[in-house]
Amino acid sequence: MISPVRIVFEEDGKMFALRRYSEALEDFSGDLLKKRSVDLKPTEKLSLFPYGPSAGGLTESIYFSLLTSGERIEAMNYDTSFKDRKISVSGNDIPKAVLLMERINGIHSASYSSLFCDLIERSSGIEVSQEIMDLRILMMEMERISHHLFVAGRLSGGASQNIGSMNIYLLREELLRIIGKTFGHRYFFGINKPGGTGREIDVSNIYEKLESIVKEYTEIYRTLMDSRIFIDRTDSTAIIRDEISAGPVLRGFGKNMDGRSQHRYYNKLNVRISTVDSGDSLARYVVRSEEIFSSWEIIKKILERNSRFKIMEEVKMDKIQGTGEKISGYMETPSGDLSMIVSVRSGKISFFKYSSPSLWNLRVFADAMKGNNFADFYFGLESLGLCVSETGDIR
Amino acid sequence: MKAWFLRSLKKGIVTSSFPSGKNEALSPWATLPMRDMSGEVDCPVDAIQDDRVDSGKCISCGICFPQFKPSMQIPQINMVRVEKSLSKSMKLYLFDSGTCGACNLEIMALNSPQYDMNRLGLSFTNTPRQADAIMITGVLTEGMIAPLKAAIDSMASPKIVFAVGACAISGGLMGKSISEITGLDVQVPGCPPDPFVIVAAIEKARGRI
Amino acid sequence: MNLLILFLIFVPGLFTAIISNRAGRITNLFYSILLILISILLLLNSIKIGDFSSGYFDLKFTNTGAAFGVGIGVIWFIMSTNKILARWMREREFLSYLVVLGIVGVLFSGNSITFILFWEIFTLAASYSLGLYDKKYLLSSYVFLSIGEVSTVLLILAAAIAYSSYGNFSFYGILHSQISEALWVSGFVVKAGIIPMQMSEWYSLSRSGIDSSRAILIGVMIPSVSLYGIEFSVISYHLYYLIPIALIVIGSISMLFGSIFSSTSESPRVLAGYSTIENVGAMIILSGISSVSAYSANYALSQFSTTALLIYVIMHGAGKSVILSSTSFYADSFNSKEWKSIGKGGLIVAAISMMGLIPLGGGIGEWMLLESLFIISLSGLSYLSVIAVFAGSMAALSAGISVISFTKFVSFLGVSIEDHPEGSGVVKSYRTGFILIVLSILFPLLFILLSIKVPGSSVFYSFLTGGTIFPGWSVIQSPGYGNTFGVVSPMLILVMAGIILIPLYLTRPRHFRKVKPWHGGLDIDRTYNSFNYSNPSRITFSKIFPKIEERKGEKYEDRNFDFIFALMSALYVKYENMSRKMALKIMNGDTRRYVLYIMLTLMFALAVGELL
Repeated sequence: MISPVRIVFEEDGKMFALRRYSEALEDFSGDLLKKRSVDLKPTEKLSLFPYGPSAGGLTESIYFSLLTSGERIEAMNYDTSFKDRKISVSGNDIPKAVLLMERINGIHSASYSSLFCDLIERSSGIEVSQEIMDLRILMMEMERISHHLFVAGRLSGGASQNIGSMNIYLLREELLRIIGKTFGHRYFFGINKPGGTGREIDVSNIYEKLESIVKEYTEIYRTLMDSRIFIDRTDSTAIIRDEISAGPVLRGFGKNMDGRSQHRYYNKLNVRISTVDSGDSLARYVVRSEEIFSSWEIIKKILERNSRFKIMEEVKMDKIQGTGEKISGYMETPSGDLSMIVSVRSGKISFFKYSSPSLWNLRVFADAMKGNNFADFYFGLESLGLCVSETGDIR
Repeated sequence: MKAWFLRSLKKGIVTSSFPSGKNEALSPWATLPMRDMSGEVDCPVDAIQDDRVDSGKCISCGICFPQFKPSMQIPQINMVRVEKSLSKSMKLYLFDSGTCGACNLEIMALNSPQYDMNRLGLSFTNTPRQADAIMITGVLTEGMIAPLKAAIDSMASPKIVFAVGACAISGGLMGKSISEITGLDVQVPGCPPDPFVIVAAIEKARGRI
Repeated sequence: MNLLILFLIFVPGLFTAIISNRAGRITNLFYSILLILISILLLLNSIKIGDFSSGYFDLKFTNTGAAFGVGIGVIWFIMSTNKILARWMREREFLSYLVVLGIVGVLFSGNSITFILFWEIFTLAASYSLGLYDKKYLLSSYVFLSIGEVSTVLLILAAAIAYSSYGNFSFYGILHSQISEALWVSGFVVKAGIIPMQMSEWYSLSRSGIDSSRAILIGVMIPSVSLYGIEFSVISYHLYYLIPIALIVIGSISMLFGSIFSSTSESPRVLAGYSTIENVGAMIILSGISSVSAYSANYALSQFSTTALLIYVIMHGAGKSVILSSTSFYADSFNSKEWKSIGKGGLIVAAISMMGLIPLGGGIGEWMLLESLFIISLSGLSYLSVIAVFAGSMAALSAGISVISFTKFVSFLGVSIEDHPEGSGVVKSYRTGFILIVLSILFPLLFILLSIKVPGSSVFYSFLTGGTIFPGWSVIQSPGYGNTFGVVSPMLILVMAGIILIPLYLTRPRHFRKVKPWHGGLDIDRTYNSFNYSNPSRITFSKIFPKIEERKGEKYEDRNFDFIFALMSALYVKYENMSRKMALKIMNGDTRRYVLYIMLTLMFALAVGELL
């Protein structure tokens, strides 16, 4: 199967496309994926249930409208435009663009800024050392564990496993404190820079702490999978089997696809990809949990060969001028594949396009909720690990 | 069931005694930078003026390093008034007007056992109609102006408006401040603020510190 | 006075209804009160009445008929109140009046052919009224008619068998042959809408465009008159003993499944429809008990269960009518206009009564049913005791489940009410609501009046001599071992009404604050009817019962737990296909129309025969 197209743009009357897990632009012909439009009209039997944009239970502002007979969802629509910050990346100089990149999706800032820095480096021909790549991988994998723990906590809390949920939040907070102490910031802000890093980072004494967190999560995971209530609630809810989905959703229905497996950064790290066939909320939870373990395997390898990352500035950020050539790339964020196209001209970003995994997952989720139980909406939503902030109109 | 119980016993008490005790952790760059050595600094949000850092503007980016270093102190909380009537119990409504997601998660972290917000008489509520305080995060976005106004209007007095994070206080790097449409009772600085900073701000606003 | 004159008193209402809908509503109310009064006076022997007979047309007064007249009158009264308050525009008063007139005729019929004539009048009028206004809902009319006609066919067969052996149409002839009496009683049982004939009940309620007043007519009044048919046959004559036992079994199955389907229903009107099946089941059990105990010469128990049945009929009539009043034109929405007019209080009281909770009338009926089954189970007849134990456990289980469904009904009452405007309108609606509360509580008190021993009563044995059942009005005396049901009695209802309702009324809210709910920060109207918002019982039962989804194209139309309905409709489709093939081969026409034609001709012939 050909990978689905993630970004399409037009230039000089020609259409170009970037596919999932691809670093090469290709000519695009054919039809564009239509904008999802579902007409929700309340009838005698079906009524419209609005949820959001600001309501309890939502981590970020998003509006859902559910057409429902009460028990069953007949159709669903969503609107992410409420909290659209309308950020303009192009036109900024590189230092500011990196700061913006960290803040497109704050909880996945390491993935965003790593990909962005990688593209800038490639566009100006900078070769970065293995050490910088290792630091980026380390950050992205810790970010993945932190995000997956958050989703696991939300999902188990939603399935009334409150003790389990609190135990998971406890681990996540422990992890965030380790990150905060080691990296200077709980969400890795201000570390990634094109051609270098911003801070000196000492990772010599985090191994044991991380190991105990993963070990404790293994116990919690086993206990949760023994819980009949948790399984009952998440099993066969919000079944998604759509190829255009991203990340754990894709792997949740048996697709053995992970951006990390082919990526240059993860070369020789032997990323273990876990898949589950059923495609439901439980499957996505299992995939996430297994990813916590595989991320830990990667982190172990990184920590074995590095104990301290010095401040590295192989090229000063403000010296990068760029050629105006469009460089494209991808990265596997905790939610799925992130694709990005950047070009730099005379020290400023002249072109920026990206495709966020949340947007794709939200689209397939909206279609998948049809026919589901109304009360299962929450499990489906939480199992996606959605980040509304990255779905905004960012150019 | 048994497994959970034994786990809890094994884990012991992890809850912080903050604010009566000391805070166990503090993310360095969530604190206000202090000048360490001389030199020009190009602050992207113009937070630095004459060696002083504006806590409402600082986005914890670390570009001022090494001229500036984190102070490792809980920053000063700017607030308009103290609402003592809410000192026993306060219900919080989380309002996201345009965040990157980090501030929201840091507020939600108050729920985790390390902070255990319930010991302070705090809890989250699902509707502003029942809330005593609204925690606004993120820059002011066009789509959220009407909901934000509606939320503040539908709260009963006495109410406290918290602006959490640099984006809400000053607009940060990429937008407008919440102060354009409402008065800010309490400003919680940081990008994002550390949960301990949020706890400190809440406790100060209720006159408990 | 002659019964024909009494009957003719009700006829002018029909002409008023033809002339003007508005005048028809007023006459409806007037005649409903008249029916209650006349029935009570007849029962008290305050007015003497003579029977009427001309050819095969025979009108006869019985105490059973008059007692059911009270029940029918109560339902009629609430229905007419609903009509006036809700001001339905599409209502044709003529047809609904014809239904009631047919039912009143049934109550005073003296022989089987007169009975069938009136029976057919109200059946046809009701089915026309179901499908007349909207072609979309024609199917509900067909379903109602086809099951109604099954019942008529059974009645006609019974009458024909009796005629062939006795040469007349008297009830005596029918009820003295095992085959004809079995056919006769099963005719009523089918019409009452028991399992597996439940679709006549809820299908017409849930899938038709009838308003709430006609919903009361079809959903409450017709089952009540079917019960009259059963009880009248059972009480007047000794039936072959297997028939009442079959009634107890059928009744208990209906109770259990009715309550389960009711608690899993997706709309208020379907909930009420299935709940009626449950209550009809309870009443059928009671008439079975009254017959089986009369068979074993336990007249005290027979009298006890008959009184329980009558309490049930009146309480069910009042409670269910008030509940159906709250449903609007379409089955699955509450009507805010009606809500305001009926008032929340009346609905809550009705729902509590329907749950079978004390101290309301429903609770008394429930207890008397279970007590009767206890007595039977201790009677010593081994097979009957076993049946009574099973029936009792099913009845108790279904009473428990009905608490779930009506709790759901009550807990979602407030959701669809619009913002209360400040002012007098709301206070006024409270008054109406309290009138209905007081009415629904006062109805069982009628039985205290009726429990006075009537001297010179002429029936086989007087079931209304309730003096031994409510001694001193303060307790209910069980016929088994002379035990009482604590202090719970009609008297208690009166006391409780005083203690609870008067302070409640005096402290009712007088000022209403307008509150805008939080809709996520958007200024949008929520059309969501949260009646079925969370349905734990459905989710529970979905583990036990198969869910049947009706899919039309890509859309889900309904999700049904009622597997009996699914089975019956599958059988119907098979039957229709087969008959279409047969018709094409043999008759070269449409069977359904042909059958309809035969029935109408038969009715016409009967009517002509009567006149001759």
